[in-house]
Amino acid sequence: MNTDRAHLAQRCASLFVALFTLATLLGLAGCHGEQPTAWSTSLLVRTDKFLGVAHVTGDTFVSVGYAGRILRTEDAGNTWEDVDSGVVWTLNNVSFAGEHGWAVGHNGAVIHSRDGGKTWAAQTADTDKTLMAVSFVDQLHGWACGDESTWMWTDNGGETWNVERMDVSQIGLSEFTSLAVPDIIYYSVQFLDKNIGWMVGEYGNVRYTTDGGKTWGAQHDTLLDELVEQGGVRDVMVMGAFFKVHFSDPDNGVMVGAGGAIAKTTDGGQNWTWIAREGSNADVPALHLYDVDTPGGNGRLVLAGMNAVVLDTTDSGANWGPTQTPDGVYTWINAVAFGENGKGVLVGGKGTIMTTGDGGKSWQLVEQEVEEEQAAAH
Amino acid sequence: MAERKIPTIEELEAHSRDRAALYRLGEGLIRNRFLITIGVLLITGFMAWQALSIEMSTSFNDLLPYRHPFVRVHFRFADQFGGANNVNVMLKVDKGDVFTTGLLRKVYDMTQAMDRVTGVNHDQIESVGHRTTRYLTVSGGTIATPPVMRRPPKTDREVAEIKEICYNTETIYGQLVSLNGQALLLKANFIEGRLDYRTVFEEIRRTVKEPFETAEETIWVAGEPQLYGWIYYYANEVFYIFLAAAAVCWILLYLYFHDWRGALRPTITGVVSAFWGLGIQAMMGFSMDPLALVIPFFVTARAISHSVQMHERYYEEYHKWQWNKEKAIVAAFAELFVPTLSGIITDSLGMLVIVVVPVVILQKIAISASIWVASVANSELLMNPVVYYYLNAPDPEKVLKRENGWFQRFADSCAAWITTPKNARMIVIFWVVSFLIALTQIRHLTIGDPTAATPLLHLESPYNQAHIEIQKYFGGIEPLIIVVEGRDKEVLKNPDLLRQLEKFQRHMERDRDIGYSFSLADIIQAINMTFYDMQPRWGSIPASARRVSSLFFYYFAGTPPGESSKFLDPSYTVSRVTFYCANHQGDNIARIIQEARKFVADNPLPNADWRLAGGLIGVTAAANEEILKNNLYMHGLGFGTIFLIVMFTYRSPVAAVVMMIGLFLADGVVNAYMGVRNIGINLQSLPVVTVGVGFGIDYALYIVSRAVEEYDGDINDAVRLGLATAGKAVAFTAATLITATVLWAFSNIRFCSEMGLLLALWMGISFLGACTFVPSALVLWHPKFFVRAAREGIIA
Repeated sequence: MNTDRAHLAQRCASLFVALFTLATLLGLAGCHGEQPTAWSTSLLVRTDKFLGVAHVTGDTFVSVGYAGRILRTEDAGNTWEDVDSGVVWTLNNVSFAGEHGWAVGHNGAVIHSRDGGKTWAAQTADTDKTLMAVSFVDQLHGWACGDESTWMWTDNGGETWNVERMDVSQIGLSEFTSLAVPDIIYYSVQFLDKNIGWMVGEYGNVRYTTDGGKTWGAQHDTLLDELVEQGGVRDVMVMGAFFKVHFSDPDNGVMVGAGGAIAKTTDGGQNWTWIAREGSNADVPALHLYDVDTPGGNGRLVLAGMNAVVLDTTDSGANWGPTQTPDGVYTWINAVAFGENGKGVLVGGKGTIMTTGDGGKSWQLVEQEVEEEQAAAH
Repeated sequence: MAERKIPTIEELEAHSRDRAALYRLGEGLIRNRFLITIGVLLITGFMAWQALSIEMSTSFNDLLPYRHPFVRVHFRFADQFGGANNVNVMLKVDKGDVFTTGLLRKVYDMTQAMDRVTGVNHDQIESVGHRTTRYLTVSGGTIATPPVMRRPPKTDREVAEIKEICYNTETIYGQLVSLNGQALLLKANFIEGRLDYRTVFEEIRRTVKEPFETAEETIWVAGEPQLYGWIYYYANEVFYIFLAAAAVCWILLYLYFHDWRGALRPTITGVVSAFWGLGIQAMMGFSMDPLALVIPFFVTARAISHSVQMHERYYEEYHKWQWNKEKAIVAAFAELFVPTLSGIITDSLGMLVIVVVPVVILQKIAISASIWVASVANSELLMNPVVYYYLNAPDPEKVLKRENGWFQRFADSCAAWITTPKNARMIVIFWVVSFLIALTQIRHLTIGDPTAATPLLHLESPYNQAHIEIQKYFGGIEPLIIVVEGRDKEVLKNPDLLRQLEKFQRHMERDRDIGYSFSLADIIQAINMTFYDMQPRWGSIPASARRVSSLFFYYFAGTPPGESSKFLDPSYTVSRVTFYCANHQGDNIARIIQEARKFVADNPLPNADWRLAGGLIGVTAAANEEILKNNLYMHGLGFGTIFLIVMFTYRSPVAAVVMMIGLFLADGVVNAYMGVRNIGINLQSLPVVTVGVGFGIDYALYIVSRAVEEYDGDINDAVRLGLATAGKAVAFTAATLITATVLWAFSNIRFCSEMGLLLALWMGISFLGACTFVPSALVLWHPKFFVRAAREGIIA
């Protein structure tokens, strides 16, 4: 009887184990769905912010943005891929001379590429100031500018950067305002060759050099004169910031800036005239305009700014009109660049990248994977 | 083939001596009928009175697995950073954009109305029309944060200003104003303790939606409180479904028993046990969740199932005992005592195992349903002989007619077919193959919700339509909150920490189901950009702590404390990152949480800790993880309990295995059905799935017990007779209950209709398993326990 019982107990135990295993198997089979699906990454998402874009060669463009993000395209913007910048700092601007490129950003960050933007390496500049713009005329000669009147130059492709501090222009400066504006932020720099260049920034400051930056003059005098003529005061404090200066040749230049400001010169900046300012021109809204570039020749220019404003001109900036942009985009556009055959790219907030094939007359959104799937509304 | 023969009275009396104790118990019950009746009536009356006070309500906190670390984080920070109870209201236009005086006034008025809804957290309303939605502007050399709208705009110029503000404020554009400018979102958080779903639902409908909606300007409302509002709204129909189910049962019972006693007697069991179950539930202070309404229905079904067996047996015994009513009552009682009691105990314990899941609502359901089932014993065993004693005996003619009716003849021939060894072999093979096929389908089963829309309601329901529409315009509205807790004060001013937050956001946002995110890093970027010329190049985290600190000072100095607390605490110690997710599908949540955990592990914060995870997505992740963990546990425990009870009843593990294989088959097939039909295992379906496990065992117990009773040297014949009698009642019960349960398919609550179908399927498969597989196994293998049980009695 005892052996019977022992036998029974043993059988009970083994059967119980078998049942339990079966139950567990069922449970396990049932839990398959819990396996998380693969982590997919979308190239563009609505929190991406791009601040600078430059044409390299052919159909290659490079865009830089928040937290060291760099995107690169070889088909004029239809498809992009992420490139490692090696920095965590936000990159504000990028400039290419042939296959060589430089990008600058916050905390004095400068990075350099020798292969058309495929790979990047850090360069050292003795500054921790935010750098807003960079301009290279060849593989050796470049200039950059930024916060607190900081600017710097190199004549060896950035192996060494010489950090300088811009003097304070006395134009339109009263005793009171001289205290308020000691450290102007320079937002844009452009050199046409090793000698001639402009730098523009806060309080309507326009600086120019004809000796590669050894000495700097100021050109915003005529803009202030015009304001006085219109009944205003002669004070740089009333002028907003210029965010971009663009010269197509040594004579013809245009600047865009805060509050829908556009100024134009035809004589190398000796005389600047206001085309629009704070809604004074019905064709130009009183919104910040951040960038302007030319698709090449014939006086055509395209500018971009807040609320996805993209305007163009055919007479070197005297008259502006709207371009054809996709509906339902209202973010800021911070940069625009053109390459060959009227191909161009503009970049901005909310992961916005647009391309054009007709010199900026019409623009198309680069498809955002994530938007396609989830939010047809965009 | 041996026909069923009517035993003589002498034989019956000899048989009854084998279970003299049970017969004496039955007689005792009849003798003390007066006392028992009074006692049961008094208690039932008291319970009924208690049951009336039961409330239908859902406490969101009850739905959370309280031991899970995510839920602890949620409980700690929900007051400050917003809980999981967010209502989202979208105002949408089909043409043009929302920037007109009329529409902005509308959203302003809607926001004011929302601010008056009961239980709303006044500091956690986000809308361009609310005082707490502010934008940044530089004025007089410092930063000001005025509300976007102090009052509705009156002129086009004011509208244009608001438009420019909205498109250039990171916290508004894409979050409260859709990217395409055609929709405005109004988000309101509700205080958990003060949340009354019905009131909120009704007030939002009456004051926020209906007065403002037109054909061109549509309003869509979604969010958890609204979802529960809809469920309550539909819950009333449950009453009618109950009524219809009862009517169906009555009709079928009448057709089956051919008299009204047979039709109504199970009702007594159902009603009495319902009073006891609900009464005890009320006494314990539990309320009734509208989604748990399927459970009482299910319990009542079990009560009726036992009752039908008893009534069937009573008829039979009445005939055998040559129309001696009292003898028949006692015999039916004594003979069914063991299978009924062990059936009830397995059911009750089977429900109780849910208690292991540390989720309050499941524990409440486990305890109350288990007591409810146990109370079936009271009406079915204690009261039964008494009730039959008071009722008139059935008409002998009807009893005889039934015994030769078509259903009996049908049962007889089915029983004969099944118990032929050749057919039995086919049946076993059929089941094994079905089970294997089912196993391949179980892989599709999802833990958590299988779709982005709520599976609780039908896809075309107004709620799901609203949910889908809002997701379409805003990309994501369901928050996942990750808390950042500093180990010291002022930690949040560290730019390295802020950059980590940004990195985390940018990394997670790459996922296709995260619409966007928000943290202190976004605020500092927005302040920085506003401070410097509104130039996006400044919209970055400053490199120095000094700069961060002064920017925060400028910003928060101009913001009322109640409004800044949703971002951080006054000591700069605790803040959050909120991800707005596009859907809460089980596998998506698992993926997002896994990625967040990985990032958090690889990227520690300087002098601070990440705390995962609150918000709807965080707590749903917690619930899913807890279900996953406990699903296995509950399977094991549930089957283990049944195994032990059956093993002790028959003193044989083989008996338990034979009867339980049917359960496994049903479990496999039902899980496969859930996988194929895309019903996820979540907090609501888990109890239904678990209690379903016990279904088949009752059926098997009745059939095997009866077969054992009929054993006269030939197992095959005994099994055939068991099937033709107990099996017939099982077949009828299953058919009746399936018909009644299928009525749930008409429910507007998708969950109820799916669960109804699921239960119907469960009952169907369990029935088939019990009536085909179990007898076939007995016929093929002639287990020893069978003969021993027949010789020595089932329980020693």
